[in-house]
Amino acid sequence: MNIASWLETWGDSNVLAMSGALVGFIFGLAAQRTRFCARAAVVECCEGRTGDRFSVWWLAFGAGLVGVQALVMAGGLKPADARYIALPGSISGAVLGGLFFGAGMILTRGCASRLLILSANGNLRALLAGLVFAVTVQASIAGWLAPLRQAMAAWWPIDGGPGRDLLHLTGLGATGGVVLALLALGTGFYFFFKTHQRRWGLALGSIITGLTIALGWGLTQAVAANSFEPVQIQSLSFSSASAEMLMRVLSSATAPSLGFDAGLLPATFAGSLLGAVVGGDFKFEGFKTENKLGHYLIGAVLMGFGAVLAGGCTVGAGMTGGAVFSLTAWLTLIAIWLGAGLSWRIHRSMGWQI
Amino acid sequence: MAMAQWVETYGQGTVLAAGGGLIGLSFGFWAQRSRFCLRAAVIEFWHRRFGEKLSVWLLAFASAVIGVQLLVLLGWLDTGSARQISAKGSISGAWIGGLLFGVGMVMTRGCASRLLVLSANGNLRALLSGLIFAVTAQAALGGALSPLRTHISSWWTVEGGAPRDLLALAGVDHWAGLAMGGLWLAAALFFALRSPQRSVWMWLGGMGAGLSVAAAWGFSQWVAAESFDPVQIQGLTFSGPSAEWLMRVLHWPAPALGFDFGLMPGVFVGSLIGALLGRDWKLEGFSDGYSMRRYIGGAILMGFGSMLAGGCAVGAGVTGGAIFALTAWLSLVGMWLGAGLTDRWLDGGASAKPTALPAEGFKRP
Repeated sequence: MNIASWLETWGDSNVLAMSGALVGFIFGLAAQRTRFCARAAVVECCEGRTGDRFSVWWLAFGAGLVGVQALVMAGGLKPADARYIALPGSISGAVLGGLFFGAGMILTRGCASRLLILSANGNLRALLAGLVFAVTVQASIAGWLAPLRQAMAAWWPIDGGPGRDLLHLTGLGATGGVVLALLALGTGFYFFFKTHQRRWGLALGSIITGLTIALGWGLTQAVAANSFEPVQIQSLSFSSASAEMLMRVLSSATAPSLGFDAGLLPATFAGSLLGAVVGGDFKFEGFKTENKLGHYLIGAVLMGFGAVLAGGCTVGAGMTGGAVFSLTAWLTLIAIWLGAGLSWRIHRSMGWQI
Repeated sequence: MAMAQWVETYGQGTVLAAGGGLIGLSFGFWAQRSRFCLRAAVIEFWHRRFGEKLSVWLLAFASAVIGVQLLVLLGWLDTGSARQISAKGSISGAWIGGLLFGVGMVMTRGCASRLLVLSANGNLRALLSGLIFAVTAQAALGGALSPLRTHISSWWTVEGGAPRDLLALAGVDHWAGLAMGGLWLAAALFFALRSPQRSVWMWLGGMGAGLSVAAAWGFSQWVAAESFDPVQIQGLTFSGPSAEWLMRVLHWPAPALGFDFGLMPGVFVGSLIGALLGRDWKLEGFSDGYSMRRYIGGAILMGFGSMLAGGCAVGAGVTGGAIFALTAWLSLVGMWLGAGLTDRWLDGGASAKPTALPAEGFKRP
């Protein structure tokens, strides 16, 4: 590996930003082509079927799990160093944040990463909802919503370390993680080929979408191992990255230094744009027949606050944190599904249009 | 006077914020009731359909000029210490910023203050455009767009003091300023009396909005005179305060309390009261993709333009115009030109038809 020499030549932050850009570009392209969407998956699930969107999501999730667990086996990643496990967390935050996030993503018609991918396809609804999302995330991290978030997170805090490691808590250990991951991938293949028959390209796209999670973990771990400075290992996550991008645009004086997140967001946008241009999907779209602006605003605010409370979005907590078997990440993922399912059911039964 | 005592008891920031809130309340109420809007006035003007909108704007402008010049003549205001005159300014920034603001204002169908007033009436388009406006204004002030802004401003600068003061440049005193205000008032009366849709709100609202601007100047000067710490005197403006509010919500530690802190919520509440009284409150959103592109582009142009020009349609146009700041008048002319040209190119003059004004491009919920 000549990572050490790259770090010396280019500096830590630039190498991190470049790896973020690489991971983001692949993710954006693959997720755009496969129409990877947690919201659509939940909605299908709620309606009692495992259709095309659910199978894509589940296959990507399984692939991400297997990729990350294989990386851990090969020694390319130390999950205990990840912020999802090492730092103190909050059970109440994970559950409530997940519920808020799930309810919000039903209203905005897409979770945070999906909004970013859709904005690059000319969807102005998603662009505006994304802006409101980023503003709310920043306000929840360090602004007016921060006290509320801290209060809710303080209801049931949890220490960092083995207590946040699901594999340690259940006694399954590293082998158990691999078995669970293979199980997820196996069921992913089962659902996928049940719905999509022989669409190998789509399957490959879903698997690549999932594997970008492992790529992100692996690259940042490699940088962390070769750097003299402390480097936070991380992978795809869109909530804090969008807030960071917003503050970078708003204020040069207090702008954070470059890092993985700085490359991730624009590259995901570029990847999705390329996918849309190649696939002929690019089209300017705004609000059409009905007045949905209120839905989008409320949904984006709920999602932004929920993401910070829970410590990540569907990708950031659900896949990135889920793949290292963090307790709070799994709680968040389950709460997102519950919140979204509940919100969807309520809307359906009340006859509200979404 | 009681002011020194208030400043001592409650602190200068709180007093300024309370004054900003009250004056904002008055401005928001009158502006909502009279539909005070530079964009509509400009469009009426360019289509030679001199009606209610132009009259309201002229009434507000004339009242602001007369109010401010009276304050100066009474010795209650020293316009020389205003930021728009005392600080170094930019001619190129005023021109280009005014033009960009005018273009954006027609695209968004409302200037910055109008967006705030409309947001309080349930118009979610205006709320979102206002958010984009604030984000762009802050980015132009201290963020990613700031280098571009300083670069354009540096093309043609003007020293602070007499070179930025139109009255000093013309070699006349504030009595001439007052006479000038009288001239504008005469023009306002001329058009107002011929306007087809006259109402009492047009008179009251136009003058109320203009006098709120003068009140802001007078109030901040009053606090400045009675306070031991330096206080920047100011009128009403919306570009700086919206950027400040955005950063206040987003980031801790927040900037210190001041006039701007009270102003924005004051205008919002004032407009809300006006809407409830007049039964104008209605939730509205976007109806199609084309209008969204227009609104987003317009809000970005307005945000950047207002920071470049040193104020929005009220901040540069009325507030700066009333103290006869050179750059403010240049910005105002730029806004009229930019808005007129954009209206011709973009809408082909379609928005001049009275029926097309409120309904075009939108749809009811």
